[in-house]
Amino acid sequence: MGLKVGQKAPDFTLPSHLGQKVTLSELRGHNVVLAFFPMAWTPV
Amino acid sequence: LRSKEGRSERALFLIDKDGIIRYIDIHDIDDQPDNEVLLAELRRIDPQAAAAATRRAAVEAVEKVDLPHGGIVMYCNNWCPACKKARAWLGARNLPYREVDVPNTPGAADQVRLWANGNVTTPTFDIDGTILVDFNEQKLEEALKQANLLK
Repeated sequence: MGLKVGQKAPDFTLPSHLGQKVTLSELRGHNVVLAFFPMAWTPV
Repeated sequence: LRSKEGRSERALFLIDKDGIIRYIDIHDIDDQPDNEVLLAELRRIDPQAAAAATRRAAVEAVEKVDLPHGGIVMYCNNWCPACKKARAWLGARNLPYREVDVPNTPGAADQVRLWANGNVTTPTFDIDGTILVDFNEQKLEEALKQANLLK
């Protein structure tokens, strides 16, 4: 996707590691730390 | 989340309050950066929030310390000239007070900093919960009268 520092982050909804859905735009107004990582025992 | 070599990776992003990407770090899954790296970036992105967090931490630290309350409590040390004057002033009026020796009392300096806008000002008075920073005869007298500690 070629994201760069300074760009607007594209909105998304993805499952969190706790199984809940996380939508980036719902966190607007907060500083957000995103960590994308493969879950243990998954073939991602 | 696979590198070209087929290894698993982790991708970290910091997105600020306006939705702008401020930090990107993609690395091998085994190379997790220290949390301090991310915290430093967050402090850089939002110094105001970082200062507020530091203040909150100071408040929590002070809450855990057992400092005297009630009556006249004077935060001071054994050398400051204004502390000596304040002792003489209180002594001349036969007013009972407790001293907190700031350099030798854990948490006392943090407490004074919270009251005195980040400075360790001595003397600082806690008069039944009313805080007076520095020794000012007139203000001290007023506060003592308000607290019914002086007629």
